[in-house]
Amino acid sequence: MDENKNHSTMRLSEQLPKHSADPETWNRLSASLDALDAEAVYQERLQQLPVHSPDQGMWAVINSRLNRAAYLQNGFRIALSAVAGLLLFFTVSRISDYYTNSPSIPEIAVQKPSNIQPAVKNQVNPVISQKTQSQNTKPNILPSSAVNTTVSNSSGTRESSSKKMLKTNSASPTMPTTGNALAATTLLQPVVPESTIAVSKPVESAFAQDLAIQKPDEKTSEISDQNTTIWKSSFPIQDFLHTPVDSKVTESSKGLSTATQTASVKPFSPGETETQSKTNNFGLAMAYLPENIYNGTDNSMFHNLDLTASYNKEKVRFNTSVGMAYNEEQLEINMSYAVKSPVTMANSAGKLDTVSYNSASLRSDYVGTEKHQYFTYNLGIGRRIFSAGKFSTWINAGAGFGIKLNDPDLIAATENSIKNQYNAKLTDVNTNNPVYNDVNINFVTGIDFSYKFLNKLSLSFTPTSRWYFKPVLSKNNQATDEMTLGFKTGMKFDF
Amino acid sequence: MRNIVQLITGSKSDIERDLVKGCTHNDRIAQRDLYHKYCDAMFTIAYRIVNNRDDAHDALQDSFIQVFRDIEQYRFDSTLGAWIKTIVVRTSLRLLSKNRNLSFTDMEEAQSDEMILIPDTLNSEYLEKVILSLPNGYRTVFLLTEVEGYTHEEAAKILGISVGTSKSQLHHAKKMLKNRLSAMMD
Repeated sequence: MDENKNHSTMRLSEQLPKHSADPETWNRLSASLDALDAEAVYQERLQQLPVHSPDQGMWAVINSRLNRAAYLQNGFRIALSAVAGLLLFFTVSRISDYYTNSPSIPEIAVQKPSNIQPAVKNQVNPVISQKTQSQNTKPNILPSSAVNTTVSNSSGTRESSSKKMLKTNSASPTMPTTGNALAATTLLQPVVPESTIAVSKPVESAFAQDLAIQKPDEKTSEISDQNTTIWKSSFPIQDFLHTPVDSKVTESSKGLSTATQTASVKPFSPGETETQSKTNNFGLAMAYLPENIYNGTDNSMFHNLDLTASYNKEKVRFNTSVGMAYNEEQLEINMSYAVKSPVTMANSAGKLDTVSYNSASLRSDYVGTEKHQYFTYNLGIGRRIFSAGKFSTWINAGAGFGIKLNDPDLIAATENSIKNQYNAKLTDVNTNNPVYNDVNINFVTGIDFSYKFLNKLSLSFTPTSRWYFKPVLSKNNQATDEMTLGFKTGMKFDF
Repeated sequence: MRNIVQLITGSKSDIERDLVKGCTHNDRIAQRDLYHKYCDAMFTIAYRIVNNRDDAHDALQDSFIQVFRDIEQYRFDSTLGAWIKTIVVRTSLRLLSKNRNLSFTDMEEAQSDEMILIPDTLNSEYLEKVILSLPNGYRTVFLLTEVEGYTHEEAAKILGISVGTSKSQLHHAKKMLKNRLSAMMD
C-alpha cells in the first residue's frame, strides 16, 4: 500500500512542471538584507552615540538653587507669620479696648466715681424732667441750664440755647435763679468725694462768684446777663456731670471758668496716681519651658529655664530674658568596620612572624547619650488683653536666639573607641543623629495667663509657640522641626 | 539617614521609590543620588537638542529644579527616567526656541523610509556631529523619534506640531543626513 502511494507521488512530481526563481530575486533579497543590515547598523550607531557629562560643579549649582528656593520659601513663610502675628496682636488689642472702654462715653463721665452718679442723677433728674416738660410746652422761653445739661451734647445746640437765653423773660417759671443754682450746688457738694476736691474747688468758686453778683433789684437786662452768667457758671458743673468739656466751652465761659479748662487739660480721674504706680513698674520673672523638637525620628525634649526682666507701661510690657536650654538625647549608632587579625608562622629562627592578615567585617550597634546646653536670649513685647481682679491675660511676641555652649560628639568618641580597641578600620557609620546647630534664631509668641496671688507676686502660665527660622536641629541641611509648642510656667515679682 | 547598603542591594523599582520618596521629603541626599543617576543621560539629551554646552547646562539645571519641585506629581505610571526625560526635552526645547529660531515648515507628508548607509569606518562622534549639524527643526524631530524612541504622535505633541509635519521633518532630516554621510564616504 505504502509502496503504491510512494510510486504514485513520484510519478506526479515527475509529471508536474518545474519552475525557477527569477534571477533578480536574489538581488532583491540581497538588497533587502543589505537594507536590514544597514538599518541594524544605523540603529546600533545611534545607540552608540557618545554620552556627554555635565560639568562637575553642576550639582553644587543645583544644590545652591534648591537652598535658595528653600530660603526664599522660609522667608516668605516668616514674613507671612510676622504679618499674621502683628494682625492678631493688634486685632486682639483693639478687641480688648472695645470691651474694656466704651468709646461713645465722654472721658470725664467714664472716669467719674460710680458713687457720685446716682446721687447726681437723683438730684438733677427731677429738674431735668421739669425743664424738659416746660420746654415742650413753652419752647420760646425755656432755655435753661438744666436743659443744656441734659439735652445738649454739641456746641451748636448749646450756642443756640445760649442765644435764646439772652432773650429770656425773667418771669419764666423755669428760669434759673440764684436759689436754683445754690440748690444745685448744695445738692452736689456732699456727694463729691475727697479725692475730687482739687478739681471741684474752682467750680465752687465759680458758684461763689455767681452768688456775689446776684442782686434782687437788678434790671431785666441785668437779669438776662445774670442768667447768662448763671448758665455760664453752672456750665462746668453740667459738663462735669454729663458732657465732655472740650469743644463745648463758649468764649465767655472760657474767661470765667478755670475749672472747665482745668478739667479739659487734665480729666477727672480718681485714683489715677495709684493706678499708674501699679501699672508702670519693673518686674522680674523666672520661668520653665519644656519644649518638644522633632529630631527626624522622634521628639527631643528641651528644658528651658530663663530669667525675664520686664517693664510694664500701662497695657504694654517690654520683656528681655536670658536663660539656659538643656537637652539630653539618646542616640543609636550603627557601625561597620573591618578588623585585621595577623596570621603568624614560626620562621627559621623559631620565632613567630606575621605572614599575612585575616580580615573580618563586623557590624555593631551602639547606644549612647549626648547632652547639649544652650545659652538663650529673648526680646519681646506684650499687650494686656484682659484684666479682672487678680487675673490678667497678655499676648506676647518677640524674637530670640540660642547659642550652643558645648559640642559633644558621641560618634567620634565611639569611632575612636572602636579603632583603639580592635585596631579596626571603619567602613560605614549609620546614625539617626541630627545636627545640633551652633546658633538658632526664633520668633516666639504666647498668651500669658497671670494670677496675682500676693501683693507683688504672681504666677504665670503661658502656652508658647516658637517658629525657628534658623533651626535647632537639622538633617541634610533641612530643619527637622520649624514650629514647636510649649507650656511655660513661672513666677513674677513686681517691684 | 539613608541606608546606602539598601540602595545597592535593593531592586531597581525599590531604589526608584526610595529616591522619589526622599525627594518628596526634600531629602538632599536623595536629590543628589537622583541627580547623579540621571545627569549624564539627561545632559546628553539636552546637549543634542540645544546643540550648545552652556545652554545644555542651563537646561539641565532648570530641568532638575523642576523635577525636584514637581516630584510629588510623579505617579509611577512610567519609569522615572522617562518622566525626567520628558521634562528635560521640554525644557531644552523651550530654551532652544527662546535662544534661536526653531521653526517647522509644513511640507508634504513623505514616507520616512530613507535608508541611511553608515560606513563601518564612521565613528559615533562624527555621526553625532553630522546629526547636530542638521537644522534645528529637522534635528529635534530626528532626535526625538530616531534616538529617543518617541512615536510621531508623542513627538508631535511635545513639539506642538502635527503628526504629518513630524513625519515630513523626519524624512527630510534623514535625507539630509544620508546626503551628508554619502558626501563623507565619497
